[in-house]
Amino acid sequence: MKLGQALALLAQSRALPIGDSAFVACGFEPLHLLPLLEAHYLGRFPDKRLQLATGVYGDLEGNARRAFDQEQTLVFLLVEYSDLDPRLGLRAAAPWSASHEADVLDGVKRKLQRLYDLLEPLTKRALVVASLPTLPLTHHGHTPAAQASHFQLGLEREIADFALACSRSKHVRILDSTELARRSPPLERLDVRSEFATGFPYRTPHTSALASQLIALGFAQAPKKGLITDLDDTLWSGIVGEVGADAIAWSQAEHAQIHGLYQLFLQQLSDAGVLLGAVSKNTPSVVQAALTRELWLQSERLYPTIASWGPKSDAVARILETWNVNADAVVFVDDSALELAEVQQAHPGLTTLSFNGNEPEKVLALLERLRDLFGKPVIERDDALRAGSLRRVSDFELERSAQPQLEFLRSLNGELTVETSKDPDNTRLLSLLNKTNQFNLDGARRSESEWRAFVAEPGSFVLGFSYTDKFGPLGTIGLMAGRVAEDGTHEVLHWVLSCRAFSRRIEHHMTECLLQRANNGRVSFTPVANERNAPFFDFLRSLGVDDPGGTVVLCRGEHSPKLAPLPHRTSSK
Amino acid sequence: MADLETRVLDCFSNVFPDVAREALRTATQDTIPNWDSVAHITLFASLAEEFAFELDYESAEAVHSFAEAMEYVRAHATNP
Repeated sequence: MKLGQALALLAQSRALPIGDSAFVACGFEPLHLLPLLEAHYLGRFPDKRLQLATGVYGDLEGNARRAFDQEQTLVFLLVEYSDLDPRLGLRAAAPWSASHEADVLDGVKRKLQRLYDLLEPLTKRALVVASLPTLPLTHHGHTPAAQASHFQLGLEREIADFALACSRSKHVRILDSTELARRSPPLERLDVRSEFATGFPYRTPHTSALASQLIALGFAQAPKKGLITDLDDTLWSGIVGEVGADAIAWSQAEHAQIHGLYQLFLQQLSDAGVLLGAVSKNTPSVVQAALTRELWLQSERLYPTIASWGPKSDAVARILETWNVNADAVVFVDDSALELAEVQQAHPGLTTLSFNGNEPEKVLALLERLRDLFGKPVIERDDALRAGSLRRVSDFELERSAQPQLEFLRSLNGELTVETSKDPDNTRLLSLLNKTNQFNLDGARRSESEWRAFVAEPGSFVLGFSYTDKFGPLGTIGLMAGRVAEDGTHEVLHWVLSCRAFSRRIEHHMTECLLQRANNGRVSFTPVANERNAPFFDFLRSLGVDDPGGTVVLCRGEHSPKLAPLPHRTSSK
Repeated sequence: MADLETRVLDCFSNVFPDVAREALRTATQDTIPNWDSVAHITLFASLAEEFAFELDYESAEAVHSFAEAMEYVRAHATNP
């Protein structure tokens, strides 16, 4: 994005409400970085603006300290070499030659340690998105340009050690230097004139690339939830119906390594909680025979696998139904352009991507794209449960259909655990809020920084619900959060229940739990209908609330008796 | 492509969106309270980008009005 485009966008959007705010901590004058950050934010959220606060020129460490005292729960931290030692910048006024190198290195190490010490408490209340030196050292060191100097390597090691230590925190996101280099060539980043004249060291294209990556990390997109893959010439090389199960291939020895790589990549996705399914135009027994071979992807991870001779769009529809996931959260991969088009037409929200085994570089680009689409900042404990719980839900549904409901639910030996502690570090609940559509009070989403600010409010409450029964644990499946009014009424702002936990009356347990917690026995909330959250309104109707049309108030005396009999044990922690 | 004055006016309008375009034509640093040093650099970076010239910060500092900015752009633009 050009500076002029950014400024024009901001000029047109100045009447919009403030959506989020962030603190920019850097040692340089952040001039054009600010409008470009705001403009890239508008690119993500066209209906609201980003408000930015900044520190003072030439004091990165002080600005990191100032960030701690600010109200913003998102901090963009930009470190350049000159912030670590002025001798490493263009405005140097002291020598850096060989006899001073050890001193510079030592100073850099100590400065980074102090910065780390500042970040640790800062991350207790804010998400920190950090960009580490993006400007190359061009004239330091005694070696010819082609040779890395001991000095430069030492500096890079200190930076890498700092980045590694920071990355252990769930609340620090380090900008990926390779991805940035793809968007902004390292030697085209520095604006020498601007640095001398204004103290702003970046050329506009670099500023824009940096801003777009900072926004991408500060306001991460919800990752896709599931991937449906074709089998023949995609998961493996060969048409299993023609060559037989023994002749399909996916290894280097069989000249089909790119398919093996794809399998290993899918295994990685599955381990991170991504749902995997497979569709194939084949006879089911033929596919079954192929899946009994020792693939590099554990074949049981493909659930469900649908082999049929019907349109693939029908098979995809069945998988979406089994997963209870919307098409827009799912990616479909196939080697056939025709199949991709047929599925895309039937499921316009689906992301369809081509697998071309004859062009391995395109497959590698596909894996890179998939990594981005499914990428999540951290893997939560519940992620590993997700794929397994899907099978458990399926077993549950089979058994449920065979017995009277209450008797069946009691036989589950279910246990619902309510977690009442307000832990800003618990991002599992935020993740649940931001990916749950059906049983959802109003479909509202929150950014990580908004969530952390909300959790930190003295009057807020956050209840996380996890569930297990004889079929196994479903992990964290529910959230109720809001504020306690002066009269004790619990005003619910967020209420979600994962579709994996439907049909167990857990929503009734949740309601009763909150009615019991409210001193005055009153719970209020304002549901907003959208095209996906009908299950929430079905539940309200079961309580006699037919047409909410505004704020709903539930009272212990009136509504507790309307709740269905509660079948599970509950406990708090 | 729009004429030079319109393009300069667009740059001014993007940096000072609260000032009417007509008022910008006669604007000076004294008539626009927001025309501070940061706005000045932003304005000239934007003009340099639009008219594809290498920004010389020192000479740009001598510009204090829309009319002078027009003159400056005429003298430096590589794509007028």
